[in-house]
Amino acid sequence: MKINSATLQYLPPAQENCFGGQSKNINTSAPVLTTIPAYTEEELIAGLRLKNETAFGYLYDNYSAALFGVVCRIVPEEEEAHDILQEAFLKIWNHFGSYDSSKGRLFTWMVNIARNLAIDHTRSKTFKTNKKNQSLQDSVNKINRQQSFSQQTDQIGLKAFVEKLKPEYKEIIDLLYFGGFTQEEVSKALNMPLGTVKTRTRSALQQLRELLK
Amino acid sequence: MDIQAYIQSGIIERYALGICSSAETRELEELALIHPEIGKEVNEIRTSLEGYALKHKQAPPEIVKENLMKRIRGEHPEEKGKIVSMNRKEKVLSTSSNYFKYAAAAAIALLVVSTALNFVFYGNWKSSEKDLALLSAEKNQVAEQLHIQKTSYTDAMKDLAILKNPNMVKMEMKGKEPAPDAQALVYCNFKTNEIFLDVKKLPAPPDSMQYQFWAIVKGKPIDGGMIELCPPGDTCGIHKMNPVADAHAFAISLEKKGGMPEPKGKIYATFGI
Repeated sequence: MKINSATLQYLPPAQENCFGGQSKNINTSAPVLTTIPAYTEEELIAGLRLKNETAFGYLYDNYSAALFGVVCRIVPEEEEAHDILQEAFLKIWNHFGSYDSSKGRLFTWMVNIARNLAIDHTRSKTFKTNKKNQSLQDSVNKINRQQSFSQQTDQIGLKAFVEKLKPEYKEIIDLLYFGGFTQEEVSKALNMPLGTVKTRTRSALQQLRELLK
Repeated sequence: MDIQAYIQSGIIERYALGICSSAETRELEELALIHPEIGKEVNEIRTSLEGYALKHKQAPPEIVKENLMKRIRGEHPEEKGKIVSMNRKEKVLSTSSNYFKYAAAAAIALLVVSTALNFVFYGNWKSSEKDLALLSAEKNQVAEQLHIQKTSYTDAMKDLAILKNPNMVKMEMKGKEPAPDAQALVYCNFKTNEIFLDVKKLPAPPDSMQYQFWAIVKGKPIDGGMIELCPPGDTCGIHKMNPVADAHAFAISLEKKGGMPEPKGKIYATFGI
């Protein structure tokens, strides 16, 4: 079986996780390709539609690190991030029939599931702590705090990358993409005209695109 | 439409971030079908966002996969295998309270639906019951009518059998002075001596009086029996009278109720006299 470039780039990383010292539980090597047959994206999708456990295991091995990274970015509490990752994969398994490959790539679909579960989790938590009127400000601050936190603990690759991205661009991408906020909410929370938020969104994504080329 | 201006408006970025309104989403997806450059742009922005997400990637601990695989196989992972934090407890509580919330909502919804159905079915049952009562009343009516028809048919058949008998002789009685238009038919079987009377027309007698039928044998009247007149509008057909042998004439007289051994009252109709 062949491995296409799309699946190769989602191989799990061979480095430490965001929780610093607890890396002993983690697969530090990448034995995936030697133990499990490699799938093309089409084969993987077909296998998942047929509820094939091996295909699901392969999906997990190849995408869990990427999804976990997104979840950690939104929910810094380790135990909760584990639960959300598990819920996300369970949802992927149970609702695979609703994935429409014509609407976008598998990775986009899965990131959206994980991201939305994580966002829902933080929002319901904020709501429960009775800070309803403060929730927007709090959540925005949290995403911003998370920025400094991750810079301390994240891998060198990310640090180097983020240094190239303008801080105000990173802020707006993080709030919109990881925070799941609307541009109106960002405008309110950052006390910035909506027009500026819109212009900045586009410039930020243009720079991101250039950097990742 | 200026597609370049559309692309530069920032809508593609908002679409890729999933923050478009549903109208904007629909418009973009329709435009992307006509203008492939829109689809290409969406794809590139998505790829860069994915690339950004991938920059954050971190391997989760092995236990997450173990629990996950158990769950998709329908096994319940053991809680003790997990690190339990303070937040964990709160989450369990909130999940279960959510569960009860949903269960209560579902129960209420079911109750509402079932109550509504009760009304519907009660209505259906009531109307069915009414229909059934109507139908069974109708059925009884039909049966009653059938019984009446059957009886009158049997009577008619009996009458017909009497009349068709070859030994039967028909005689017409004519009205006399008190009732000149009185009319009656006498049927007499000369083999069996059976006599039948078919009254066509006689005036209604006073309450204390009754018509009596006489057969005349050798000039002597012999009691042929009392005549039961039918209520007007009813055809009572042919009545069997007392059998009398060798009768050569017949008469009907009006007598006291119950009849007399010899005719005393006025003669209303006769044959052969």
